[in-house]
Amino acid sequence: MRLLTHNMLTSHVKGAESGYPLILEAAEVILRNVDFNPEFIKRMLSKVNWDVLYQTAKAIGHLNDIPEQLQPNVENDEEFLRKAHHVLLEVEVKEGHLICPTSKKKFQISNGIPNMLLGEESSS
Amino acid sequence: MDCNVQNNERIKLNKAQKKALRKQQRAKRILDRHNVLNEFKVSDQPSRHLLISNGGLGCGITRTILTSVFGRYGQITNIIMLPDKPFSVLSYQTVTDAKQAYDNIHAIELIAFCDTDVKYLVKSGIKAFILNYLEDYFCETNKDSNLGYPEGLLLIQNYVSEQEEDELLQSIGWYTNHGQASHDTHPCQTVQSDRESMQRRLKHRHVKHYGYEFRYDTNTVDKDKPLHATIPSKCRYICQRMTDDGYIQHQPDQLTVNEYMPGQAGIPPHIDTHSAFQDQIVSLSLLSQIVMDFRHPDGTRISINLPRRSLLVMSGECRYLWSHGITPRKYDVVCDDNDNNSNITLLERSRRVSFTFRKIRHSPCNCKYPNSCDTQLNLLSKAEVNCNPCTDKEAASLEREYVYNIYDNIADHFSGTRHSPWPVIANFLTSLPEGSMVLDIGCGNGKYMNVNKSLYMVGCDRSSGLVSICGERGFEVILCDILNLPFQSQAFDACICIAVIHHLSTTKRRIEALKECIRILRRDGVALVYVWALEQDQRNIDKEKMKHNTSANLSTDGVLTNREADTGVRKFKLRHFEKQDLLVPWHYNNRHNKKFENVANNSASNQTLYHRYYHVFMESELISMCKAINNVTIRESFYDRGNWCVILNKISD
Repeated sequence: MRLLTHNMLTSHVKGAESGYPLILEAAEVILRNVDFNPEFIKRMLSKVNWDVLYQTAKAIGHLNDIPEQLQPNVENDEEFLRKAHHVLLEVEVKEGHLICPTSKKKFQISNGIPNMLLGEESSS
Repeated sequence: MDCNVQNNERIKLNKAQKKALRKQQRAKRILDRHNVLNEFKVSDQPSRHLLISNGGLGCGITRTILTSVFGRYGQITNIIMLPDKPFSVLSYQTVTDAKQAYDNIHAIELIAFCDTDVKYLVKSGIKAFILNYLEDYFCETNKDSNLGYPEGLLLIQNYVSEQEEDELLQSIGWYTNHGQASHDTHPCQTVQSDRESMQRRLKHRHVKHYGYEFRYDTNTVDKDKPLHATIPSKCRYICQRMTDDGYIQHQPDQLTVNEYMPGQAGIPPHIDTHSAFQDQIVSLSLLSQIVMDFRHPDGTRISINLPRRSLLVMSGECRYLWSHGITPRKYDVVCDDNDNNSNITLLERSRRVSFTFRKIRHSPCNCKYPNSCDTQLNLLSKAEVNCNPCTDKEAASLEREYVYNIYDNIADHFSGTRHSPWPVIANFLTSLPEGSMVLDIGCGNGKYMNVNKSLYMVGCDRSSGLVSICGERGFEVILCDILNLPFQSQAFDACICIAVIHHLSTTKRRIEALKECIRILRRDGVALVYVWALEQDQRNIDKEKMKHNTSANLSTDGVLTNREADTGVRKFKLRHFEKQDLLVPWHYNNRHNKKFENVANNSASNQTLYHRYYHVFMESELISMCKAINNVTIRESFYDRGNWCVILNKISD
């Protein structure tokens, strides 16, 4: 699971007011080379919750020097875009957990795939 | 003659009574030794529950025997029999009944019952049952322990004599226990071609077939290929005896003889295929005893000792629902036949030969256990099987059993049949702006995940088997349920949901699923939805229409079009549906499953049939569903390859 995906994930545990953002605990992280496409990253910047991205990258130790605040006019800062590219797309959590911030329910990430099934349907 | 009375009037006891008392006290001690559950407490007062200290499975006593002897004194409510234990516990509805039974059975010679059912008991050395009352409370807690015989199992001890045992073995040309080799000179009337199938060295046992070859790969027979060798005439009197005794209804026409050598492996748990054989399946154990394991689908496991020269009759639930097998072991724990009261002994397995008689079935099986019945599973797609759930819980359970579990089972095979993206769907994805965030809801093996590399595609599916395949292919996927998509609202620019919503089994759930697809879209986001169409036959007839509609481009005029994006040559399968809610078979090829790799290489046996639940949509139904969601407009609606399809625009949050 990439951090860009994590940025959109939430949990829907009944009774929990907000499942966003999920706390990420990474037991194993892999880095995978992805072709750098500045246009793509620029578009992503308008879509991600930067604060969540920053905090999560920091929590798993893969901050890669991205700034805490998204600065204006970064669209032409290639160095910054490359750093963001790395954090968004190249850092993959292979094993670990996602934790609902309010209910504390744990969702396992196994072989790169988060299991977001809630208890009641996952009995199969 | 309850214990209280005995204590007070000891002086008056005669010799026989003293003997009975000694046995009764001994029974108490035995109980202590065997008290696995620590819950069996002997009571001095009459109660509804009787401990029959020499009336357990370990002594070869069957439920049937107990019912027959004890049933005449009142209504039996429960019988607890533990594997290998010499005792059993029997409960009556009332204390009066239990007292009546106690007074009439305890230490009374069984010969007095002169009943065919108990005759063999006397033969096997049990002269009288020794009883004790038991305290109430434990019997209630053990009511559901279900550790007796499987329903429908009968075990008849000493069914053949030693002489008959010899004759039977000789009739098939095998060694007897006395070591005389008698060769295949006997009248099996075999021809050379049959001999191979009749007598085959399996990995762990020696086997011979008569009438038909029993196939261990499928637990069935080839009905079209009877063997030249029918059941040897010298075995037939046994078949007649079993029919006369009422253990079987039909004269068997198939016999499998197995020889198990000491220390060799057993036989894996299996159910003889329903469609292949009639109800009663009987098996004689010769030369040596063996412990056979019976397993219920709920996980209950019961081990039963089949003594030498006993007849095992499996009928009803035992034949159709319970699997049976023999665990490879060198020793079995059994009750020593020479001491019916107590001795559990460890017996080394020695050479055993079993004669299993079956009757080939020529009509469909209509047993009461459809989930274990191949005949009925095959008919499921036509049957009225709970495809119209009333509650959410029922719906979820139907979907779990007939959608998610099935996809997990067939994931690898399913994936192997899903290669090329359909043009209309691929075009939808390529038409999206670069950098769009797209969710593939029900992504399957990920066949659309890689169509347009300029998108950020995330896939999700309810089948862990399928998401694993995506994971291995390097796609970004989540295991989740469509009714609870774990994504923030408005996170995506577009989504596709191909062949998913038809797996939800109520209208409410289908609408909820569609709402979830829309919820995760931003305003102006776009969704492509495909569901199976009921009207596939009709389309088949309408060939002209399909030929004229070869365009695979999206029209953007907002008019409802009826556009088959097809090349005119259909490579996909058109189906005929008789109703909207149904189970659709999936022929799973076991080649794809490594678990079965070592099983038979016969093509017929390599297929397993699964059924997936579908709600197939009528033409207007998908549209009405979309109209039930107030923040979308239908940009397009069309028919493609047996599916009703819509492209929706989210117009507000």
